[in-house]
Amino acid sequence: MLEVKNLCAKVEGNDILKGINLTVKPGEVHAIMGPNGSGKSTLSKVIAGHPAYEVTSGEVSFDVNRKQINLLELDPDVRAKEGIFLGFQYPIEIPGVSNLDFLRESFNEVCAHQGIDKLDESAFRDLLRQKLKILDMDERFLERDVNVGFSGGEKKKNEILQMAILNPRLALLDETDSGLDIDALRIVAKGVNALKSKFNAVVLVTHYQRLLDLIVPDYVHVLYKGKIIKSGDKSLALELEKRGYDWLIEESEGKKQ
Amino acid sequence: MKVSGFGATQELSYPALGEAWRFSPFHQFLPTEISPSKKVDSNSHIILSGETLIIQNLPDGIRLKDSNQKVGVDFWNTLTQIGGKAHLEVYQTPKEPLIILIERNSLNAEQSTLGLIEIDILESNKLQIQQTIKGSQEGLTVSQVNLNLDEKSSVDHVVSLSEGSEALNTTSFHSTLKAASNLNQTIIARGGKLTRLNVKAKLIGVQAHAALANLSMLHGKSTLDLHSDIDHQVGSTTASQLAKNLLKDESKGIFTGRVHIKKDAQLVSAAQMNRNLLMGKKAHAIGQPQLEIFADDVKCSHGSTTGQIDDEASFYLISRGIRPEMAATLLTKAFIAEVIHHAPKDLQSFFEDLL
Repeated sequence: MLEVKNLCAKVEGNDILKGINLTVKPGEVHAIMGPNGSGKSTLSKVIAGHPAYEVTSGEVSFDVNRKQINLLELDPDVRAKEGIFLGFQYPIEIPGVSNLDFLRESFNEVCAHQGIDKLDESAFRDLLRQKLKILDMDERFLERDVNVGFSGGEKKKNEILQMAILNPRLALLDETDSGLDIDALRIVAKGVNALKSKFNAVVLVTHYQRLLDLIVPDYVHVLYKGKIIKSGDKSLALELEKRGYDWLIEESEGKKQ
Repeated sequence: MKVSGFGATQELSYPALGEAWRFSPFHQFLPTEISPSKKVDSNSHIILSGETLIIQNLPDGIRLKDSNQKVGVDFWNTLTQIGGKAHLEVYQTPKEPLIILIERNSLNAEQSTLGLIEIDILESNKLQIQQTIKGSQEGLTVSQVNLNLDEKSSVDHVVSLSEGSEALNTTSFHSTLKAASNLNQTIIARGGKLTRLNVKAKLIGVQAHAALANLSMLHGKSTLDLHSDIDHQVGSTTASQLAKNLLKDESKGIFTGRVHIKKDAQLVSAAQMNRNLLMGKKAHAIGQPQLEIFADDVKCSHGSTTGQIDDEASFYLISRGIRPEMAATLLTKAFIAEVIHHAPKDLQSFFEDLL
């Protein structure tokens, strides 16, 4: 569904991604790990189409109606409408826009693009109620302005709520576990697991094994200096938890020489 | 009830008859004397139009006081003295908002509306005011509303000011707050070639609280100059102020905000925020906070931001499938909504047409 080939990208003149190769198929969960500054967030932002990130070479293709199309040619809102979702590491506060209006606007735009009928007010509320329940969120969240005055945990839950409403085919979750206490982490994981199906894929950017205990990955990739230096199964994450990144970095730099 | 109608006589020279006026023979219809419009808007309780002041169907709990006293001495006061004057008293909490209309309509276009409205809110009473100030394409409006809040009284005041693109406007609000009184004032202003807005709140009794919010939405070559003066005369008084400018085209929004805390007025809390959203390449915002603090045990904050629509906020919305132009609209509405939400919930619908 997602195919990244030799992707290079820069932001503010700095080369961050230096030849990423990644294939994600429906039904898979991928975890992307790596030390700070290795390019993990950049990768998810480039796929979502953040305008500050410039792709300098390489390809990203995505399955749209059973055809792999060039994702980089699509505007970011169209990427979202085609089923790509970016869960922000730092969700943005938008004073003056209520969560409900934001969710409705977003849901309606995505439905219109996909040729699905809009839901009327009460049906949409019902859908929201269902999803709020999974995330153990109060209905009052809907009346509040987007992320304004939310705690770290509430912001992340709000990201997962948006994801649950939009039901994306590919969810890129950028450090969704950071800033969460153990209970919130469990709830967020429950929300992500509820979305998983054989049609959807999840890419988790994370630093910690504790998230991967709850959302079990099929593949684990280690990103370092803009390249994937190691891929493996879930046991790789366990090994990283025990041994850190140094041995891998040494291994990969040894290979170069 | 008509309080004062000046019935000014205008020396008008009729349009010269000729080809240009062949199909519009005004000379047949114009009276020899033109007085300001007497069209009565049935919803408003106080109407100031031209030089005429009409007071009608005042809500129960509000009565008219003697209106011949002089108030103030400065130039603008003098101008308002020439026009209509009303002095009201709220002796009992009315069940409905007081509706004030200050206008220049099509009949007094290019002329002036001048006037002064003073309202005393007696102890422990509550008053809601919906005030509209609107003008035609050209002309001058000078008006002032004085609110005198007695102990434990409260006023919720919403004001919508909209002016024609060539019009001049000076609008003043002077409020005096006695102990434990509460003022919530939300003013949204649009248009005008040159508008001067004076907002004064003088806190003279402990536990008095003033919450002020202003939004200027300007386009074309409009200039709006907001001068505010929040004067903490005694300690244990609180005030908050949000002043925003939404500036398109070549418009100019100025905010000069004076906060004065008198010597020994301890335990004052004062917050001031100025935010400017520039939507035109030649739009211009000027912010001048002026803090004059002569007491040492106070809590004061102020800040000023100027910028365009936030790229990160915009991308956040776009990444959820919202089109870029819709994202910009939502964020602009959000900028406006913050000021509207400053008004109490039951008065917010007054600004509905803005969103």
